[in-house]
Amino acid sequence: MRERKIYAGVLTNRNYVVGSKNQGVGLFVGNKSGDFWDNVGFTNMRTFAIEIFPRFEGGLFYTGNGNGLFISRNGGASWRVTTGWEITEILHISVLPNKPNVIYIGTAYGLYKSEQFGENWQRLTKRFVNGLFVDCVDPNRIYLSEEDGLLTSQNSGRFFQKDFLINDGVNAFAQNQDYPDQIYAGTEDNGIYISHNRGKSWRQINDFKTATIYSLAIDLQNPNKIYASTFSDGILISNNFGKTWTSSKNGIENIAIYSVVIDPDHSNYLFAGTANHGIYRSTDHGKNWSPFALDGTHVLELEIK
Amino acid sequence: MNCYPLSSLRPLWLLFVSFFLMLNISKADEPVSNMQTELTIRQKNILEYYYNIERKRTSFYYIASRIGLNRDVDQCRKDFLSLLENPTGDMFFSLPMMGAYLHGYKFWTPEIHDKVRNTWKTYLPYRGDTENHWVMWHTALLLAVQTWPNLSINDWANGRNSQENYDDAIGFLNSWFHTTTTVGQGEFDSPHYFQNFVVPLMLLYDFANDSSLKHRAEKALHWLFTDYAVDYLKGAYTGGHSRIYERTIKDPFRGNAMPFGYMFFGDCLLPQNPGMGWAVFGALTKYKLPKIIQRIATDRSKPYVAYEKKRVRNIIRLGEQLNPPVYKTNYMSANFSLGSVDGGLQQPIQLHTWSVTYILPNGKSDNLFSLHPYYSVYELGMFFPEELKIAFSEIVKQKGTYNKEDKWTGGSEFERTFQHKNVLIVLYDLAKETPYKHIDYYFPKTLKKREEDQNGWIFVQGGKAYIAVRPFKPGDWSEEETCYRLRSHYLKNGLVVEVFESAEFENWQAFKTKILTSGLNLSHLEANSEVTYKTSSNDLMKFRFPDFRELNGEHVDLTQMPLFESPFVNSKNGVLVLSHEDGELVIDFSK
Repeated sequence: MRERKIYAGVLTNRNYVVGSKNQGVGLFVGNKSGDFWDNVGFTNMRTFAIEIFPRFEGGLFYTGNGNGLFISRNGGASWRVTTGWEITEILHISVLPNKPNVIYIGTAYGLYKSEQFGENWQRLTKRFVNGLFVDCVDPNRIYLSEEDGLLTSQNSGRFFQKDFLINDGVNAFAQNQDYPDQIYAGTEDNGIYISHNRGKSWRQINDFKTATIYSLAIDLQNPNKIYASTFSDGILISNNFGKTWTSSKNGIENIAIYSVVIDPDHSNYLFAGTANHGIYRSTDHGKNWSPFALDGTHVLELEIK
Repeated sequence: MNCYPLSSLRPLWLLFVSFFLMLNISKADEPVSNMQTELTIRQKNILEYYYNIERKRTSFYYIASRIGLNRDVDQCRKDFLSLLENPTGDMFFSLPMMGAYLHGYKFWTPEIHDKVRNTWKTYLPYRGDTENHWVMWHTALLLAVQTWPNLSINDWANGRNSQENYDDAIGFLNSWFHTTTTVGQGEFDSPHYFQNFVVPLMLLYDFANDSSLKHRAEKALHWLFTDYAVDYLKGAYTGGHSRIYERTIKDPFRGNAMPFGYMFFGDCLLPQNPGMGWAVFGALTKYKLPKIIQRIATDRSKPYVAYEKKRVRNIIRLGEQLNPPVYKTNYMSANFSLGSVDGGLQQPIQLHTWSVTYILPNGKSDNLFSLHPYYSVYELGMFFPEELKIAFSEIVKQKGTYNKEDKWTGGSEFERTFQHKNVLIVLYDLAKETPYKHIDYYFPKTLKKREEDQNGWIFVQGGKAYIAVRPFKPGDWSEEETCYRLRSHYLKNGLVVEVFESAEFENWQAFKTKILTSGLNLSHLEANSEVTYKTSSNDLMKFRFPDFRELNGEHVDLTQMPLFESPFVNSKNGVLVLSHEDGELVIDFSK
């Protein structure tokens, strides 16, 4: 069985300035022991978002970066930009897991959709996209966050209802795949919200009510365990489906954490993408952390595939 | 002694008279050939200056200067190859590479041609995140795809074929032409970034195959040079600026626009700025500036007021409008200018809201101004897409002065201006929560006099300009390398400034006496952030923060300001009409 790899989208690093001679941003791939890391594709492409399907065709990679949406269909050997000058930074990517040709991108100027591997874009909205999530069970259902709050669509983005049931930018979503009605939302300034009815209503969690949440991850083997990465509260951990949370900062103090992912094969292993300090790893369900790879970089997104 | 009879002198006499007549006719009509000859000389001076700078490393500009002078061509070839070994620098690499490549095309070996082609196949620059980046990138891309048309997706690093790349590049450029000539430029009037716009346009003019694109590039150059000309004062780019660096505020001759002023306007010193490599492409271009624009730039025989409307850089969030307008006013005189933008958060980090610029006896210039040192996550979030809280640390890393209390660049949401001719009122209404609760004044050390009056006025002389500054609140002085800083720690604050030519007064005392006839009413400042000022010329200005302006009892509606309005330049709907003496030029982007 092919060993899973870690994919990291690197936005910038300590010495990076636009136009400088400094390289070392873009898409990186490494193994879970950390002794191998390589830049895949371009070494100067500030990367905000990634979606990786290593087993599709020759390896389907999407990266969202400052030059637009890039696609590789051969594991990173060659790339194509599929967006033009009108679409600037791609901040979020959401691809239908069973239809990787269907892709949504969230940008500074709205949400776009393609059904052709990134060709022929349809613009669905016009405002800054804070967060984006496509329902795992019903792909017609989209959760979109703008700066004012949360919007939902039941028809693949043709129409968005301005629920604003969460009146804050939502940076992160996670859905319990065993109980798909249960969805978590992490916000810019108001911590975590939970819905038990697929987003029809939301309740703010009492713990860390003012936290800035950047990403959420649910342990697929133990869905009662949920992790949230934050700006200044370390990694938040819940062991009871999000009812209560604690903060873990051991070994990762004073570091803003963009992303957190769980090793699907060993759920005690977690990886966190940080601002300026690369990737950190925990081997004990997030209790303790240590530097792992790509020190000095901003790692906005991680995937283990 | 031999004498020549009159009859034999006649042919000589006629020759002399004819020559004299020709000379005077030539001066009156100012034939293009004279202007072009002078331009050619100044362009060569730029090439020579850049050629002679001692450099430890080569660059595409250095190569282009040597090619332009037809010197060291063999070394140019070697240097070009070495620069292609390890491409880095994004659009700052791609554009000068194409510039040097195309200007020296006939000199390059097949190996160089292949390597440049291969660079476009293997190296994909980041296209950037600002207006100037995108103009540079799309120009470089367009020039490349027209050099190598009909290539497949495998031949370009971005995986698009030549036609797709061409369509993308021309799409952006046409959009930029349209926005600039209808809504206004976002990175407007930048002494630093002016070059990042005119050099791509010059390369398009010089090398675009499409004649209509070439023509649009030429018109855009006329447009941008006109924009520079109305604010130009013997080398200095005056008034409010979207983006400026501290080194240029402190020394306007360090602005990268200046070499272009030197070459194309021709009335200032040769700039001695080793960092001005971009000027080399200005020295090599075939673009010719219409004489009328040069005259507009250099005729300061009568003072005038220039109004311009620009736009704020794209506000991607935390705002209601994508591109709110920016209103500029600039009073231009022979030896000084007083210029301002209306204020607020109109460009992140590097805005310069207002200044008095005066000419020094040595031909250089200096600035007097004030600012509130503002920074906020909110401002950054308006313009940059990164995570709000983390974006702040990144900006501090790239623009190190952003959150410094003693910085000299940047706008503030708590700052607004109201200018009427040579009089400016600046109002500050600082929120209690703002990190720095003071304003700073920059009084350059080149000022000849500085007298503080018991009525609260500060009278200074800069070159041949008499300047009167009336801070609303007291402050403390400190000395720095290039200036005296006056810092005033009040939330409700501001100043009035009036500027005159010294020649308008019999003497210094007469100037001060005139100023003291003015009347400043600060009784509503604390309660309403409002001031009323009767100028020394008897105009009544009423200003309430943020945007209530009244002149002599009539409301001043800035929203009516067109893109350009002045005695020399007026615009409407993509058409710019330039007039000077008997000349007129129409730059029409509406078709």
